[in-house]
Amino acid sequence: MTSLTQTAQDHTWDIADVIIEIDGVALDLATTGDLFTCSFDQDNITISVDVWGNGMRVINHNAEATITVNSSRMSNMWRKFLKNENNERLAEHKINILTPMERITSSSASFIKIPDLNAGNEAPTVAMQFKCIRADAAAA
Amino acid sequence: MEKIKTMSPIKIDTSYARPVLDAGMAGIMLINPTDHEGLQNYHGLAEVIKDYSLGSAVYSQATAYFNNENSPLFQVTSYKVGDGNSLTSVMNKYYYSGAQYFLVHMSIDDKNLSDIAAISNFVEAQDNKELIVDLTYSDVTKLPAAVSGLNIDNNKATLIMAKNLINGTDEFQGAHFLSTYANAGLGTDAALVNNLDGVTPQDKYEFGANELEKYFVPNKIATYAWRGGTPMMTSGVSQSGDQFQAMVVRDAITNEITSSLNNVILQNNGRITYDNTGIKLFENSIYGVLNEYATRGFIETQFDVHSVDANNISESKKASGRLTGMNWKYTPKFTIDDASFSQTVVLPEVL
Repeated sequence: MTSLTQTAQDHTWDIADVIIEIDGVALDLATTGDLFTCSFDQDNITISVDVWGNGMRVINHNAEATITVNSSRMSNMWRKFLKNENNERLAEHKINILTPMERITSSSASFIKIPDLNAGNEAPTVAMQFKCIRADAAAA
Repeated sequence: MEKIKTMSPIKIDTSYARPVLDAGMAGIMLINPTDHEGLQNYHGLAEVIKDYSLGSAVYSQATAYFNNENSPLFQVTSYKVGDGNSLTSVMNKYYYSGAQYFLVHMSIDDKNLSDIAAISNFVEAQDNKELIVDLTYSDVTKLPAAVSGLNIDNNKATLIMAKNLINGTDEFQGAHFLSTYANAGLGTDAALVNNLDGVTPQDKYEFGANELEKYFVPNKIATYAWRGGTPMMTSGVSQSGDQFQAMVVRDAITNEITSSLNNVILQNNGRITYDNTGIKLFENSIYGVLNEYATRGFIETQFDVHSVDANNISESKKASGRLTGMNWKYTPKFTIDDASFSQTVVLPEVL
């Protein structure tokens, strides 16, 4: 049997189409691995079934998420981030990420802490981790 | 005085900066018909008294506004009455000098009443900021004609309110209203502003629904009256009939998108390439702001950002450095300020 992938159109994923922006600053120098990761903390739906088998679907509106942006420490983004004292604890950062398929936004991102820093003879990287009160992922 | 010269190898010079806090969207500007032109900025009553005497209309309105201790900025823009160009020229010059709300206070018998139409049309043409027109009258029957004579019934950003004089005294309802409204949370329904200190509501027994319907409702004039035991504003719509709060939210969104995009322009090494990456940087920011307002319940979630594709833009257009053609669309979330219900009482048959 012909597999779907053979009959369907071929697709292109180009990492150069991904745009990451924090407080208006675009990520201009990244690392070798993932540009970002985004993970929602809670399930949207919890199912509960009672002893008789009657079910309940509980809708959860908690859109808490963790977004990590992996940047080079020599990027404009990281330099600006430190310089603008954006690491102030109450600051609410705006993160907008656009991939060819998704659009991930949050305007309530808090910078968790200054991440682990190091210096050696490898390209310096930093994993900027944000906790978001609300994040939203939609189709691009 | 000169500083003492010391022998110490370390010398320190001190200078002082006193930054003025941004008024955000809580500042107001009084447009004052007078015999000269100019702008005055006040951040507290103590500054106002130096220029305007106790009991003057400007001072009384400043008192009303600063009655709320959060009030950040009271501006007075003066224009020459009778000079046809003066009003437009000061509005042009000082429009973006900080205040969000413009306030104009007049009696409906004032010979300069038609200036209100010019101010309202000016504000309307900017698509930014709101105008509160505060009228006083001694004869309510003249009110509808005075307002309809202004011919501003299509203006979305002009809210007109009117009040009678109390024993001949002007209470400056507009300034009192703004002292609450300008400092209130974004999107507050103007019709729900209540318990204004220093404003006497319309007479509880003489002023009823009939008077409101007859003199105020047809021209969308708000007043301050007893409604269900609480003195509050009677209407929250602008001259066009649109909710006033939606216009304020419009400005909040405009301001926030402007500042986000400014950030994009300034923060990226002074270089945003004219290709899809650059364009999407703008699109992303716009989407981010709208999404935030949708999540917070100020606009409906079905908003739409329309972007352009760099591949469809001619090289000569790109060479001009101007990006055009992007737009967005949203529907404001409206608020309830008047509700009618019906109830049924079941009475059993009496035998």
